[in-house]
Amino acid sequence: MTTEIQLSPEVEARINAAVSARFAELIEAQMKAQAEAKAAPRPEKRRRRLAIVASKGTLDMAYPPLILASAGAALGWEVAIFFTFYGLDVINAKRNKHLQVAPLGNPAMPVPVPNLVGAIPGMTAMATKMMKSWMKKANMPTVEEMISICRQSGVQLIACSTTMGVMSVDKGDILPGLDISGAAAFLDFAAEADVSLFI
Amino acid sequence: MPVIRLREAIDKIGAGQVIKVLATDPASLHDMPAFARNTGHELIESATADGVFEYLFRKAP
Repeated sequence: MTTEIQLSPEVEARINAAVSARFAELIEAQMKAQAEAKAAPRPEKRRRRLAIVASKGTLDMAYPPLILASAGAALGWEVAIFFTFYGLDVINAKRNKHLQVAPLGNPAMPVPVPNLVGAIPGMTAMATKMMKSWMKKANMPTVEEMISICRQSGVQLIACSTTMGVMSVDKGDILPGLDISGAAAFLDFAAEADVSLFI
Repeated sequence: MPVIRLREAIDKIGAGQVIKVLATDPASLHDMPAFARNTGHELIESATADGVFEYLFRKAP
């Protein structure tokens, strides 16, 4: 049930005037805010950033960080890979030509090898040879070629200095021209990253 | 790796110029539009024929 209240014309006129004044005030504030937003300098568009930790030193696991990094660089992103622990082998000038893949404990080998058979001497060399031949058939660049694609496209490759100490890796073992730095410096880069991956 | 090859090639042409990409990798169907979104280069045409994917890009000004 509603009750109609009769307002005196004087009260009604005052209400109308107050509402109009308030409305005009709000509109003005809105217009001003819009004008200010338009005039304000646009924040400069920052390049997207990808931070990858590469922690594995097998032939199969050397590829994902390098492929993602080169793709990111191709998209115009700022990319860094931090090579730590076994990942260091990927940028080790002596060792990165000889990365291997082991069938032992790896049920995902395209040609399934019974686990125990994978333990037989020579099986790792065989699996590595096979994987290299598939890569070649698929026109996949070698690990060394992937590294040079990354470097040419501006990907920053960083060797973890702590791991180098732990694993007695000499500065001269790392590919020339790469950065050697610690976790703090990498985290500083990664803190501003849009995508961070641990591989 | 069509995206990486495209990046190398598009860096060598002038703004507004058009480049044609021929790829056999079906993943390029997704990668090429992603490349356009990320770089600002315009994907103006894409077509498929006999397992070859063809794309035309106009380099961003």
